[in-house]
Amino acid sequence: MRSVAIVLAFIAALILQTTILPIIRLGGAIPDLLLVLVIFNALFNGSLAGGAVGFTVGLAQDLLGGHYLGLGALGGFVAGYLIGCLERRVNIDNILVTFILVLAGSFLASVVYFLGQGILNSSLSFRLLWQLSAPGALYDACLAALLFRPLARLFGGPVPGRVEIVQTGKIIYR
Amino acid sequence: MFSSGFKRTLIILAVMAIFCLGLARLVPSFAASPLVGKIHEVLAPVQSRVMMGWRGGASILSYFTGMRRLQAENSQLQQQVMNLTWESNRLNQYVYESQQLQKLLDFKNRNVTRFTLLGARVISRSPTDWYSTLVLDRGSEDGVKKDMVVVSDAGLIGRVDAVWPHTSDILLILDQEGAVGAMISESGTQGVIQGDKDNPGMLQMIDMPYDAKPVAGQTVMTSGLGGIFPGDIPIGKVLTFNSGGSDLDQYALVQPDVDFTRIEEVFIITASRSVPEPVASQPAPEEQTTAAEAPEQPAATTPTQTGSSQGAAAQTTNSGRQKSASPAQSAPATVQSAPATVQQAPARTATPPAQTSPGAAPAQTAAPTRWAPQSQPATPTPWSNQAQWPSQSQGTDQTQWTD
Repeated sequence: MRSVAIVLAFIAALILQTTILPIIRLGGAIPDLLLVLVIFNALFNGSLAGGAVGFTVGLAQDLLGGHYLGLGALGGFVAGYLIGCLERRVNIDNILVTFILVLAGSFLASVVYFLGQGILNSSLSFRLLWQLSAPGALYDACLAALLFRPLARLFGGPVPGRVEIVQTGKIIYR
Repeated sequence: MFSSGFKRTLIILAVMAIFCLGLARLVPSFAASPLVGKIHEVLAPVQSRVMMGWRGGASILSYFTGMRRLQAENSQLQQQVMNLTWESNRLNQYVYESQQLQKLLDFKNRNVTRFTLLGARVISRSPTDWYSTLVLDRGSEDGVKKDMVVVSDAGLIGRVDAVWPHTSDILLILDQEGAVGAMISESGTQGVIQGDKDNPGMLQMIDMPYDAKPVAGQTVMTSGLGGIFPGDIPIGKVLTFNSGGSDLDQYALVQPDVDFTRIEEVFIITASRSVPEPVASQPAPEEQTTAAEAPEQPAATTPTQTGSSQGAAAQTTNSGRQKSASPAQSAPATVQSAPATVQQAPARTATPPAQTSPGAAPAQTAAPTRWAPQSQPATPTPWSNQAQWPSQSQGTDQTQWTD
């Protein structure tokens, strides 16, 4: 049931990403709701799941509006895989930690995209990278902080086979 | 050196990078591919619904945000309108003032050869209806003297009644005490203009000849008689004529040309210029003697020599009555009086000319007396001091009031 909800959440985010979110720019930056979901999924479900979902979402974004098929998929994979490696090493209940991880994951995905563009185009502008990636990453981090509780409940619910120990309001995963 | 997990991560990342970059390189254009078309077809209905909802919500939001913006803009525009209205009124006032001043300037230019005019502004008006007076911002330090005439571009206003160093009091012709010798220019009917106590703001012309029948629309001007007001200054227009119960009760209602409720700028006639007469400057003794020997001349010339000018002036306006008094001698007297008066005129005009201020003129005339008592009508009239205009006796406006 939770899986269905997660899938529907990804589809809704995909629709919103292609309709409304490009309208509500801030300082030229568009929020990447799909990437936020990818990172949350990676935080709660590990690197493999994060990488696979990141690759799929990135590929879907490339199909619907990208210029190079595969670059978005690579960026999503890298962000989801590496953030997923931190699944058991950070306290994901802390909203600040989540804010920093989403900020880092979003920036990482943008770096990968731009590096891939540079390899394919033979043109690389680090100034442009900073101008486009930094505001976008900050926007994503703020969105994640805003949606932390519903997303944590969506992705962080009880996982079959996973032992959860609850201590004074904290959920510790083993 | 590196853990197996780290190595595994690097390998996975490298493989994925190669795969994705290869995919990007090998599939250059995929936007028109059927797969993309299918995805768009599936998502399009949902996307359109979402955008419709967004636009509806945005319009509602913009209604409220726009409302506030419109309110702010409205108040700003209202303030702007108020400022512009005030500015427009101020500019209209300037235009009106400019037009009025232009009229006054034109009036002054038209009369530059006739009068010396001193501009003045009204600074105060009489607070009650008992008197019709104005206070001007010119006084004795500006050369203003009592009984100087005050006019505007429209016509006669009144005369100076009292003078102070920087201000002067003007008695309007509307006042009962501000009577003026007048004449209807179309018919030559003489009379007296005074304020109408029954119609405030209007004038009455009284003391007209018994057979006078003023007609509505006729122009009333100053007659020049009386020694204060120069002739040919517009006063107003006849509105109606009331014959009354008797010749003494008849009067004409006159609409003044000047709008006394809106007077702002006026002119004070400080001096008027006279046309020099072609006669000797010094009267010949034998001619004066001849004039003195004329039967009715003693009555006229002797008082003139003593400084009164009433005799000659009496002959001017009351020529009809004097002629009736001594008809047998009227013609020769008139003829003989002419030289006398003409001779006296140069003496009078030889003095510092064009002094209409009655206070100065009498002292400067050669004739010793001008206010000789004559057989005057029982009722004293404001223009009984007529000796200043001896030329009037010849029925022509010769000396001082020719343009």
